[in-house]
Amino acid sequence: MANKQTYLGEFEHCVLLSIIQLSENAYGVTIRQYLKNSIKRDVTLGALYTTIERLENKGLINSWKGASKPERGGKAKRMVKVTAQGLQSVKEAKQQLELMWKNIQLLEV
Amino acid sequence: MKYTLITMCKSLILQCLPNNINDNVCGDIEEEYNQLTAGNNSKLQSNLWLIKHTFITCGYFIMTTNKLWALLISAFSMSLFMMMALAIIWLSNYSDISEFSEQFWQQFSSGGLHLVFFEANFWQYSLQSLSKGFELHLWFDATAFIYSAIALLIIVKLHHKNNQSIKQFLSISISLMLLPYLLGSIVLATKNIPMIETGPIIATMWLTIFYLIIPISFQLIQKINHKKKG
Repeated sequence: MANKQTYLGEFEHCVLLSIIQLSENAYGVTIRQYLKNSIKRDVTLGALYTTIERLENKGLINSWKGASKPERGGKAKRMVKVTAQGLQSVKEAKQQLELMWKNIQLLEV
Repeated sequence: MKYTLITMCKSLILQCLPNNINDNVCGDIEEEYNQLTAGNNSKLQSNLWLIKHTFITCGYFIMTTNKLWALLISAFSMSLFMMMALAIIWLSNYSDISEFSEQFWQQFSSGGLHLVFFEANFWQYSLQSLSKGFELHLWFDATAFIYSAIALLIIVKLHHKNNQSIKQFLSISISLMLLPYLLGSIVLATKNIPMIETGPIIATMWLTIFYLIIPISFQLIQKINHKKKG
């Protein structure tokens, strides 16, 4: 069970990919909107931040305080970025999924 | 301070969410709300979105953390504490025994103390007595105090034993809290004690619960939180 934490959950996978896509502008609002616009998944900020905390504890992302703006009530943004370990984890998850999908003709009706 | 919908929602989020993320969620929810208000959405739609997301987010954390347990345990212990306080006020001030049936008094003096909580007259009288004020000595009984202090010492020692499960802690704590009540009930049921002499026994039975319920609940909540973090 030593490497249990390195496995990515389905939602963790989606959040990591969103953070990679958003590059320098990844924080709660943009990640939530990206998930909604790209895969029609309307998640709550509570669920999103729980996942962000978990990913950070696993060492897959880093976070830091961004700029605070009046439209945010003076609260700073929590910017996030995928770490090298996070990138590796996403690559492994992709390879595993591709292996699992191999030879499956599900989409040919 | 102007209380708008957004300030109320933010206050709720600050109360319900853990400290490490509540500021981030507040900032994000306000930013999205402002985006919606500035966009094509009507004020009503934006407000509904805000209310929906606030409640879902707060509900998510209340249900997925120990706060729900803490809330339930606190509500139960406060209710029991208040019931005991009212019972002690009633016991100390009650003079007109004719308002209760003879059967009730027989059962009461034979150890059925809990029956008092099912009597409408009890609630009426004790709640009225609250406004009169009461003396300090009502809340002190030497036997109950010494027993509670020893029980509390044992409970605190048990709390610091990490290998003890919550079930074990709970069963020992509740047994310690209810022991004087059970012993008192047995004494009242088996010995024919005159009604006038039952006062100190009943006071010890009730005051032990009164002294111990809040510390036990506090230790229990701490133990649940500790187990969750561990």
